[in-house]
Amino acid sequence: MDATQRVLGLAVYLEKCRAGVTLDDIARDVPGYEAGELVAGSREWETTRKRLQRDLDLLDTSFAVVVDYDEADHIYRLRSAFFTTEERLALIAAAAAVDVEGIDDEPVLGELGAAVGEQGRRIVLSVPSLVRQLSDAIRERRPVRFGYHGRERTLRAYAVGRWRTHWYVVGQEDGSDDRRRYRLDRIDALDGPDALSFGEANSYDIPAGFDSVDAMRLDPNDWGPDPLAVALVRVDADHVHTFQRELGGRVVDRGAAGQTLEIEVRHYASFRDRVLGFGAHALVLAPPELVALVRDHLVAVVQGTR
Amino acid sequence: MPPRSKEDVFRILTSVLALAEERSSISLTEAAALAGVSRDELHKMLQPVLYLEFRTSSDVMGKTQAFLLDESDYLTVTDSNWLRDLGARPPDRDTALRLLVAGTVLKSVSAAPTPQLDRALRKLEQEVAADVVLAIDSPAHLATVERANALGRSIRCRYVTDGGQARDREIEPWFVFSNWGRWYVHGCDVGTDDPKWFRIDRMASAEIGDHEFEAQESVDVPDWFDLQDQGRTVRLRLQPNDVDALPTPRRVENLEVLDDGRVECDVTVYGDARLERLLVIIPPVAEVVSPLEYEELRRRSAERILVRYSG
Repeated sequence: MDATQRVLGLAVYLEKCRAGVTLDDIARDVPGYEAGELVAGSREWETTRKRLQRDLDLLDTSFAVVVDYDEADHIYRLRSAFFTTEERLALIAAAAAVDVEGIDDEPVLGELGAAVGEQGRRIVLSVPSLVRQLSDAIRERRPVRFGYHGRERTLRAYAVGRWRTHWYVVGQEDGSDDRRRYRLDRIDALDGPDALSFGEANSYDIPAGFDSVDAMRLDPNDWGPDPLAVALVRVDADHVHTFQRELGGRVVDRGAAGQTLEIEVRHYASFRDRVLGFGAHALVLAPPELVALVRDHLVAVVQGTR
Repeated sequence: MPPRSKEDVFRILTSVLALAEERSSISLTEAAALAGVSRDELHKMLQPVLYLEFRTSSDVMGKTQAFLLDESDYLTVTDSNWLRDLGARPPDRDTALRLLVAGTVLKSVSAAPTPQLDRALRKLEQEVAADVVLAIDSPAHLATVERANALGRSIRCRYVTDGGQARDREIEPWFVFSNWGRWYVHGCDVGTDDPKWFRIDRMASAEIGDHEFEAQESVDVPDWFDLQDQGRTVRLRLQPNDVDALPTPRRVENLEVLDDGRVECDVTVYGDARLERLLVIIPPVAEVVSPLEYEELRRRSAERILVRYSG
C-alpha cells in the first residue's frame, strides 16, 4: 500500500464519517492500516496509533487538514474547513484579477491564490512592505517608532490604509491628544536599516469608537482646520466630471458651457491649489474670501515673477 | 535518485492540485516543471490521487471523479479540490493580507454583489486583525468601458487630455486594466491601428458604439509607461514644508538645504500641462532657479487664469 494512498484514504474516510471514528474503525476500514481487532495497550495497537498520528500530522502540515482527538470518547473528528469551497473560489478569482505587489512577492506554490496565472490579471496594486509591518504592530498593539519630517515619532497605530494613490497610517502620537495620519512613503528610518522599530506588545488599546473608514477619509475638505466655507465654482463642461472626482461638490447650476458646483471647504490652501490645478477651466465665484485667496495667489505669482 | 519523502511528495501534490484548480487546468508537463519534477515522476505521484477508491465494511469510498487527467495530458479539477475543501487552517499572515487586499479591491470594482467574497473577506479580516482600509474608487465610466470590451464594441466618449483639451473620440477598447491607482484602456481610435493608452477617468462621457472589433491577443498590465520624453524638470528654491505640498505625481531629487533654511530641489513632472500646473501652484515666494524660461512660463500661466477673475 502506497503511503499517499493510505493518507489520502484516511482523509476521505474522516470526511465521510464527520461524526467521528475510533482507532478501531480506522484500522478496520482504511486501506494501509488493516490491523486485526486491536487491544488497547497492545504492541499492534500502539503501532497503529503511532502510524495514525504520523498520518494525521502529514495531513495537517501538507494539506492543512486538521483532525481533533476527543480524549473522553477516543474519537477522531475532522475539524471544519476554514473557507467554504465557494469562498475559496471567490478568493482565487480575486487573486487572479488583482496582482498585489509588495507583500509576499514570492508566494509559495500551493498557498491560496499563489498558482493563478498572469492571464486574466487586470489590476495591479502596490503595497509597501510597511503595510505588513504596521498591520502586525496594530494586531499586537505594539507602538511604532519612526522618523517623519525630520522628527522622531512614537505612534500607537490604529489603522493602515490607502487613499487615492498613497498609503497612510492613522493613530495617536505620544505626547499628543490628536489623532494623526502619516504618509508611508514619507516615513524615514531613525537608526539602522529598518524604517520602524517596535515597542512592547499589548501596550495600548484602540478606542472603542474608532472608525477606521472615517479616519481614512483624507480629503482635506473633510478634515481641514479652517472654518467651514461653502464655495461656488464654475467649471467648464468637459472638466466637471474630473473636478467632482477631485473635490466633490454638487451641481447647482447647469449650462451648456459649464456648470456651477457647490462645495464645502475646510482647508482653504488645499482648495486653492486643487482649483488652480484645473487652470482656466475652473473659476471660484464665492465666497469672497476664497475668491480673494485664489486671485491674490495669482497676482502674487504674476507680480513676483515680473 | 533516492526516493522522495512523504512530505516532499505531498508538497508537490499540493502545488500541482492548486495549479489545476487556480488555472482551471494545466498540462502535466508544465505542472511538473513548476513543481520541479519530471512529467513521468509527477504522473506516477498522481496515480493515488486520480484513482482513489476503497471499500470499507459498509461502503465504497473514493474520489475518482475529483481530478481528471485527460488524453491531452491536461490535469483538471472536475468537481472541487476536495483536499483544499478540508483545509481547516487559515492562511498565513502574508497570504491572508495579500488575499484581503486582492479581495477588497475586486469587491470595490464589482458591479454585482459578491456574497461569497464578502464572507471570505470577513474571515481574513479576523486573521489580519488590523484595520486595513482600501478606499478604491473606480471611474464613473469603467462599467461602460468594460461592457464594450466584453462585447467587442467601440466606446464613444468625450476625452479630456492631460493638457485639458477635450474632443469626441471613438475607441476600440482592447484591454481594460488598473495600475498605479488609475484605470486605463488599451486600444486605438476607430479607423486607425495606432495603439494607445487612455485613462478612463478622463472620459467626461462614454457610451457603447456600433463599431465592432476582433478581440486582441491577451495583453499584460504594463509595468511602466515610457514618459521619458515628456519629463520636465525644474529646479526650485522653497521652504522645506512646501516640498511635501507639491502637487503629485512628481519626482523630487537633488534636495539641498540652504544656509537660510530654505531648500533647493529638482522637481520632475510629466507633460507641459503638469509643468504649468506645478509652476502656478507653488507658493509665490518660491523661486524658479532653472531653467529661467520657466519663470516666464509661470507668469504667463498665472496671467491666463487671472484673466478669468478680472472679467
